[in-house]
Amino acid sequence: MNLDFETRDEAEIARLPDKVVLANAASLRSALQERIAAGSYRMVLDLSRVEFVDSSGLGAILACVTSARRRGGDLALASPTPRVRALIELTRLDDAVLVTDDEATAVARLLGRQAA
Amino acid sequence: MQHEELVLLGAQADIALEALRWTEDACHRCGLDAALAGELAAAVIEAVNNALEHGYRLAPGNVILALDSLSDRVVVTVTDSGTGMPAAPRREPPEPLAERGRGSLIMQRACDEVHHDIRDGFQSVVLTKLRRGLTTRPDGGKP
Repeated sequence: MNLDFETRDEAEIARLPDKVVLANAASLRSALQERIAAGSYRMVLDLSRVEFVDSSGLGAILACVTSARRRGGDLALASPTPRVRALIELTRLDDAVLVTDDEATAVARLLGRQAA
Repeated sequence: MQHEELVLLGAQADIALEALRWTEDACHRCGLDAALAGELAAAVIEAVNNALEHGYRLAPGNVILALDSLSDRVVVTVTDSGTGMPAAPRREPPEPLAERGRGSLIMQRACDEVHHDIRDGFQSVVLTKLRRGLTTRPDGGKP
């Protein structure tokens, strides 16, 4: 899967596609974990373009959270669309993962958490 | 009562998205509130995913969607003829960082009733959404 990445401060922003579902969850997971393994273990996933995510997509994201944390980093979710936010809340994903309304807040909190 | 059906061919992973669009369109046609329709569609996707992953083990096979619109509820039945066992029903959330186990949870929390049925070689998941709606509490439970 080809993802758009952007580095901001010491964090990496990954822009997710419009759908994160069973059909592409495995390739998304591989693409993100490859980046994490290469050293981008403080990562923000930009969800602003994601129209729909299912449990397979959530599972792929959580696998990457675990990978980042094992390396001493973390992963945050930014700018979820209303439908995606509803699913995040329904599954209580926000109890385990930092979710913010915008990218800048996610980066700041991710780096702040690292500095603490 | 209004009844609609859709046969999804091939059991390819992309059919979940076709199921999503069909469910939302059918719910719109029968006048279900858009927010409730979105929750029901999320549950339908998980039922279709279960059919693909557990019923057919990602091998070819058809998934049939049927929507019945009644005065007080909308019922979507997702049926497959796969040989795998359906995913176990789950209401409690999995461990916070567990990668699996949220599909059944989404179905349970997004619907007012979830019923599994196995008959004559067909496995069905019956998802019921009440029109008055039981909106989800912030803690994920039902009021």
